[in-house]
Amino acid sequence: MQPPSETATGDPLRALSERTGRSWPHVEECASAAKRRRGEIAEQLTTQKLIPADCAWVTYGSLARDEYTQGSDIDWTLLVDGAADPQHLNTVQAISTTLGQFGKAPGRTGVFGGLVSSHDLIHRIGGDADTNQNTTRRMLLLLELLESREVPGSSGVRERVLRNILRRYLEEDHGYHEIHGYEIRVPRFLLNDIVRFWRTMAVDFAAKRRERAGEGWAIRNVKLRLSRKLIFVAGLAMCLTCELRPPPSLLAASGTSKDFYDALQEVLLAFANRPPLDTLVEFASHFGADAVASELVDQYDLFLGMLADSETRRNLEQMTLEQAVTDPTFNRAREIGTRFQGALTKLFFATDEELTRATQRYGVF
Amino acid sequence: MWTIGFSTGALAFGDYRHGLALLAGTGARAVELSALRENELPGLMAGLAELDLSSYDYVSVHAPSKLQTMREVAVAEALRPCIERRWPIILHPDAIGDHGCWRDFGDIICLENMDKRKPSGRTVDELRPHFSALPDARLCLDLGHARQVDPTLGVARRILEEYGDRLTQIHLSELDVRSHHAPLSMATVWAVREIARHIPACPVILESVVAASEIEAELAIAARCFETNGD
Repeated sequence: MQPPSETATGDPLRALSERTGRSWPHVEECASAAKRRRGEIAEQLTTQKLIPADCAWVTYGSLARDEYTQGSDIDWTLLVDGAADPQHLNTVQAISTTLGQFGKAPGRTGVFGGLVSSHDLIHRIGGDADTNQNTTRRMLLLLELLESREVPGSSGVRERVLRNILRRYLEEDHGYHEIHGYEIRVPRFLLNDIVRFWRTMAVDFAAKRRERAGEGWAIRNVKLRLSRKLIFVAGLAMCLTCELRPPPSLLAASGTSKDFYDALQEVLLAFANRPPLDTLVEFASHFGADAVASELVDQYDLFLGMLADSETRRNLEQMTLEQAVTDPTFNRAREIGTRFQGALTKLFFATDEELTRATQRYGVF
Repeated sequence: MWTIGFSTGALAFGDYRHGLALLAGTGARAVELSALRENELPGLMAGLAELDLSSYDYVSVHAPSKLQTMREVAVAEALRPCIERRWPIILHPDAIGDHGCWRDFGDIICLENMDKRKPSGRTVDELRPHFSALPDARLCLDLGHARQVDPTLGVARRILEEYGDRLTQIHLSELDVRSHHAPLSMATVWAVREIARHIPACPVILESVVAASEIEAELAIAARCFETNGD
């Protein structure tokens, strides 16, 4: 095992680029575009004073993951972590109007573009009350979401909610950690929910094909193979890191219940504040897997390049399943997805024995 | 045109001189000198004569909200210079132990409605005993507190119905879940506009905790609360 390092710091993509001499122009351009667009939105929301106390404007999707392209949706919610207030609806409507100038409105599932109460995110984990929408919002809050930090007051709200969600996951694992004397282990409840979310996305992909009679199938397929999978893999990496490459702060807290949870919460919170591609690249670097990390980013760069090309994107959006089977653009995207999958398999199952064992133990059964 | 200004305590915690310095040259036409913490009171009252408040159309003083070392009678005595200046004194109902200490102040005293943490003074029913004990007292309507207690502002409407003729000044800010004063957003503008026509024109004191660079913007958004003809 390599010496433990602090987790979720620095710029792992840049570090990988410097070590390997590779560059990823689409990844860089999309990240710059995302930061620029988030800044523009934040300026508007700030100038217009649209964010009330105890609320945060939070963004999801490509804008949050630093993968923004011209055709991207602006996925967002108003996260409310305070008293219910009828004016919150006016706020949401005013934000919708303001964001209309920046790009496509959120998709039609209703997951984004409205109000979200922290109560549901924190208390409804599992069980019948944990709806598909609620699971999606909670998972994306943990795995891909950045909020626009320039909006005054927002960062405190999001971090407060995230801390509460993480605490729920950690303390519900109480028996598991106590039995093992608070040794550092994978946060299992959290990982199970991440796995469940990934499988739910895959199942919903099939459900949407049926509900929408194949409309948009090709673009959803490509996204499932790349960006959706990346979210899951970043979550898996986050959880495995806790056990396989714990940072010093976590090692120091091992063995005592309260300090252990506090330290684990901080480590996971740091992961939640970075894009998933960064998490994956850093994870690979912990195992000395620069070549496979480069292959992953190469494929992701090609994928973003396709989405950034407006004609290619439009083709994929409009293509039916029947057309996709023989379409060269779709097949190119499919090949990218296949190579991305191949690199992931190599990373998790053919890089490090300990990592392979942990992936089999926690990720499969 | 509403007279709008700031509480010195919102701009500079525990340092009214710095609060005044930050406010100088801004568009604020009103100021509330804050002695919210009892240890601020002696210094504030001792320095009154030196203050140049000529740029303000309205001046008030906020009495200490909690007494730990000073006796209530001593606080009242210290505040007596406000009587001759006719400066309203903003008083929290839950800081009153002996209404007799305040009777000499007559209509200088303004009772303020409280936030949800306080055990009394939040609603008409909870304010009534205090107005009964101080029949000449006037009202400081804290819209941030009232909106925290009831986001629909029904509580504020009832206070205005009952005591609107005593209204001397308004406190305005947003409150977060910890009951801390936060900057205004459009949500408050929309909410206040719903009842603005019921509010007699009076000075508005902002308690929003903002940076110096945000004072003018906060004054501007506060003014929008009282525009009754909409956007």
